[in-house]
Amino acid sequence: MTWSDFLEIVSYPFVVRALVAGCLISLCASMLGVILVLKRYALIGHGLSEVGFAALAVALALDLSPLYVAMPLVVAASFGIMLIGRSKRVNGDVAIGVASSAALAAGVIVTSVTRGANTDVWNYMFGSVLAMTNEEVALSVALSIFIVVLFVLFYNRLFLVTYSEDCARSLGVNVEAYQFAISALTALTVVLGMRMMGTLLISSLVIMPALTARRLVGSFRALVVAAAVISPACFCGGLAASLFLNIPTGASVVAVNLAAMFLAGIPAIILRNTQR
Amino acid sequence: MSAPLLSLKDVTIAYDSVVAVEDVSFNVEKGDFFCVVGANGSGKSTLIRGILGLEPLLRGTVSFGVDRDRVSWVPQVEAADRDFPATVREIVLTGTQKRGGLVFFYTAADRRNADAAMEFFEIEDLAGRRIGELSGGQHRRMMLARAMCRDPDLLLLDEPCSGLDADAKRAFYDWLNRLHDERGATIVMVSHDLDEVELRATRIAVLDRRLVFLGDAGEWTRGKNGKNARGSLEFSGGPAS
Repeated sequence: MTWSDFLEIVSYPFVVRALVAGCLISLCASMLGVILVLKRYALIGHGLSEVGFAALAVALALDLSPLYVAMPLVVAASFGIMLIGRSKRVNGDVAIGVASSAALAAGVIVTSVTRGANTDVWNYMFGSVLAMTNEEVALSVALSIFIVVLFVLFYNRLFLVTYSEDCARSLGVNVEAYQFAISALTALTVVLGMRMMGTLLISSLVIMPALTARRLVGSFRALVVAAAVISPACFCGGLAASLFLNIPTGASVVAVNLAAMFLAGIPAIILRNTQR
Repeated sequence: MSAPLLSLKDVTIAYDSVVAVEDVSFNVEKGDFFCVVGANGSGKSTLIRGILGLEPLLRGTVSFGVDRDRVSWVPQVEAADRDFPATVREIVLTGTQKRGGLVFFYTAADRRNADAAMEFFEIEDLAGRRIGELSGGQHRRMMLARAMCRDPDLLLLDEPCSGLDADAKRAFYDWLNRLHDERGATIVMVSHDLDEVELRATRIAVLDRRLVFLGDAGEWTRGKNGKNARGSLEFSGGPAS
C-alpha cells in the first residue's frame, strides 16, 4: 500500500468514524483504567467484555440492537460484580472470574443454538473497523465529555477514594457512589469499544495505557494525563497498522500498546544502570 | 460541664456472627489524652473504626460533641497503599476535604493549612517527594500533618507507632504532645505501647472485647479496687498489637 492509498483510505467515512470513536473510547478507558489499575480492579474490563459478548449474542439471536441490549446488561453486571466484590466472603477477582466465565458460556450457548459462529460473532470477538455507526460515535463523544468533566470537577475526591477508601469514608465521602459511577462508566466504555476492539481485546485499553504511564510518571495527576495522551496515540498507531497490514484493528491496537509499554520501561532501565 | 467531645453508649460491633466489641460505653472530654489499650484481638482497632463509621454498629450509639469536619483520623500504616503514586503535599491536602458538596476544589485557605501543617511537623522540605520514598517516621508525620490540616478538635489515632524505631517513636510522641498541649487537640489513641500510654494518657480504657477498665492514668498504674490494671494486662499475655 502506498502513502496516497493510505491517505485515501483514512478519508473514508467508516475510517473517520473509527478514528474519532476509537480515540475517544481509548481516552475514556485509559482515564478509568488508572483508577481501576491502582485499585487492583483492572480485570473488571475483561469480565464486562465477556458479559458484553453474551449480550451481543442474545441481541443477534433476537434481532435486536446490540448496543441497547448490551448497555443495560453490562452496566447491571458491573454493579453486580462490584456488590459481590464488596462482600467480605468473596474477593473482587473471584466475582470477575465467575461473571466472565458464566457470560462467555452463555454467549457461546446462545450463539451455537441460534446462528452458529458466523462472521458477526467473529467480528464481535476480535473487532472490526467497519463496526462503528454514527450513533456509536455520538455516544462516544458524549461519554468522553462526561468522563473528562467528572475527572476535572471531582479530581480531588477521585484521588482520595483511589488512595484509601477508609480515609475517604472517615471524611464522610460517599465511596460507594464513586465506585458505582466508575463501574458504570467502565461498562459503557467497554460496550462502545468492544465492537471495534473485540470483546476479547477491549480490556487492554483499560489496563495497558495506565501501566505504560506508570512507568513514565510518578504522581496521580500526571498518570491520568499521561494515560489519556498515550492511549489515543497508541490507538491511532494501531489503526494505521491495521489498515496498512490488513489485520484486525483490535489486535494491532493491543500490539502497539504493548510496544509502548516496553518502550516506556527503557528510561527506567537506563536510569537504574546509570545509578549503579 | 460542657458536653463530651465523643460519647459511646453500649457500642457493639460484630463481624458476621463473631462479636468483636461488646457493650462499650465511655465519654471523651475536651482536653483528654484518652488511650485505649488491650491485647491482640481485644477489639481496639475495631472500636476506632466503629467510632468513625467504617464498621457498622450492631448495637449502641456513637455521638460527637464537635463538628464532624473537626474530627481527624490517623490510620494504621496498612490502611493506605505506600506505593500509591502521590506526593506528600497531595496526601496532606486530602486532610482538608470536607463532608458533603458535589464539586470539590482546594481553596487557597486549604493550601495554607496544608503548608502550615507540614511546617509544624517539619516535613515542608518533603512536600514534593513521593510517599513511597519516605521513612516510617516521615510517613507518620505526613499522616499527622494530614490530620492536622482540619485543625481538629478531636484526633483519633490507631496504633500510630507500629513499625517505628525508638528514635522515631520518641519524636512522634513529641509531635503528638505539641498537638495536644499547644493546639489543644483532644486525642483518642489506640496503642500497645504501655510505657508511653502511662506517661502521656490522662484517661485510659482497657479493652478485652468488653471494657475491663476505665479510669485515669493514676488509677491504672496504682491499681483500682486493689487490682493493678496494668499488671493484670501484662500478666494476661501482653498487649502487643
